[in-house]
Amino acid sequence: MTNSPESNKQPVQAVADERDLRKILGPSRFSAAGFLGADPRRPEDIMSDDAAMLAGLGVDKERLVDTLRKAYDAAEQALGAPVTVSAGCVAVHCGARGKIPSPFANEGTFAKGETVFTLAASGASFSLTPLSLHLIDKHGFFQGKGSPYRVEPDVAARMMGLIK
Amino acid sequence: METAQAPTVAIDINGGKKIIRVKPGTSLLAGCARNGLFLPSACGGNARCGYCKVKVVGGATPPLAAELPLLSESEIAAGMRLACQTKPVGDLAIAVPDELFSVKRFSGKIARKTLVTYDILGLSIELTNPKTIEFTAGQYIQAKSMSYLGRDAVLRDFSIASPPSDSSGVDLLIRRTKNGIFTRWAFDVLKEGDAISFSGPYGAFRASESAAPMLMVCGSTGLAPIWSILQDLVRKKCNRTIRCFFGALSQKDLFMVEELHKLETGLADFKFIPALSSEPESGGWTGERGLITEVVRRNVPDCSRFEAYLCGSPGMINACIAVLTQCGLPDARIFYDKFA
Ligand SMILES: Cc1cc2nc3c(=O)[nH]c(=O)nc-3n(C[C@H](O)[C@H](O)[C@H](O)COP(=O)(O)OP(=O)(O)OC[C@H]3O[C@@H](n4cnc5c(N)ncnc54)[C@H](O)[C@@H]3O)c2cc1C
Ligand code: FES
Repeated sequence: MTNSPESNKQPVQAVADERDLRKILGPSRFSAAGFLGADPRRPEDIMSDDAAMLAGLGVDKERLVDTLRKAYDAAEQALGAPVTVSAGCVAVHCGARGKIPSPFANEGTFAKGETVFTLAASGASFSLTPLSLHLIDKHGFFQGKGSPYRVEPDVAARMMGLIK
Repeated sequence: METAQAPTVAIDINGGKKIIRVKPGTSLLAGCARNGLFLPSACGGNARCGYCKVKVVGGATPPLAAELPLLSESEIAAGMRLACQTKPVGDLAIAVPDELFSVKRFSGKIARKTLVTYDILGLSIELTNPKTIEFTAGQYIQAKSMSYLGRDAVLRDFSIASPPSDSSGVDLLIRRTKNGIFTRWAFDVLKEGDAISFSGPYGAFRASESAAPMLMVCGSTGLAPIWSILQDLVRKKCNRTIRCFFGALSQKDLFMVEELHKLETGLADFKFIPALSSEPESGGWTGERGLITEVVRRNVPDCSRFEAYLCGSPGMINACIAVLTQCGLPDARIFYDKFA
């Protein structure tokens, strides 16, 4: 994966207050749909609910991020050909030129390509971009429900083979 | 009554090639634009895109915190700064690529819009003001979308696919990006006859003047600058050895194949090698198969004499650099658009 700046963990609450946060995570000149989807929850609540879900499943966020990053890289190296990244889970990468900045200031820019992970058995799928992975890694932000790049933590952990 | 002259500071650009005066505290980006020097920018000067980098060679102050994520350590050490965040309060000297002096703003209209594949659009822009453009084959422009569906206008970069000899306009190849703002507008809203504006030309990707054999590797709309370079080389009657590899998944992702094969007679020593990585065996494809990197390695096991010209997604570029390096090609002879 390209262009991820070094992640130094920082609670997102420190970055902006609630109103600013909804604004910077909404649709912008860089992201058509923004990062919140139709989720009515406060961004902090989205993050704490997802953190609680992962904790309840016994999945370490760092381990999930690491597994997702390796799976993303494997798909990127296949240049668009399908790759099996865990039992029954196929990843297809779609490369793109250009970069998108993080919605949070001072976090750099990220390649625009994306990888779609699909579970053959159920058809369940999610899309991952270098930016969405950065947001999960740095802020524990899996995005709001309805965002095209929302990653359901339990679905991702299951598809990556971290839980049954 | 005497009016006091507002104080200004001097910005020396490229060792006296241009000297402008701006009010202290004005950003370099805005000050340069007001004086006809258009530095690249895609975020409106908000320290988000990292496009507006300039080298400060005299009078520098340390970079601000907002600049740090967009500048590498080596760039900081070399004096690079974001022009949108640099607000000189004293005289300053900066260095920018010489080609930025010829960047202009253009208005044009869409003369032709065609679907080249299911996800790639060909756009021909005819210039209205100014009426001609000068550029070097391989360069790109920054086009502006109109606002639509409540979305703001945005700026995005696109390589010029037409040759510099066609100075009355530019051709672009635009691939639909999932959930993309500009590309959705270009595919679904923009019509033939509509007005469009852009600035340019930008970028240092171009054919060298050397006589070394050329290895071109591209995928999808990465063909755009390569096609511009190739047409230019035909016009210049270039007799260099050129091997042009185009990587795609399946036959439905191929385009301009006939035009590229035609160059095998138009150029002294040119071969076009399209390669498919996921084409079904039943598809009747008799050409090369496999990842483009494997195909390059198979066809040119020793790259050491070549210069490589790469254009495509970051994944493709990284994979190609790894293979070309293994095949003996030094870094200094591998060219690609670092911005992209
Ligand atoms: C030098 C250069 C030359 C180029 N030349 C060409 C060319 O010739 N042809 C061409 O087609 N393109 C070219 N590009 C790319 C082009 O500039 C655009 O970046 C591209 O077309 C996509 O623009 P867009 O506005 O449609 O997508 P954007 O709206 O800018 O980006 C959409 C992407 O952003 C990411 N994203 C958006 N929201 C989120 C979210 N909530 N969470 C996570 N990720 C998110 C996703 O990856 C999504 O696919 C070039 C780029 C450069 C730098
Ligand atoms: S203009 Fe975007 S970072 Fe300066």
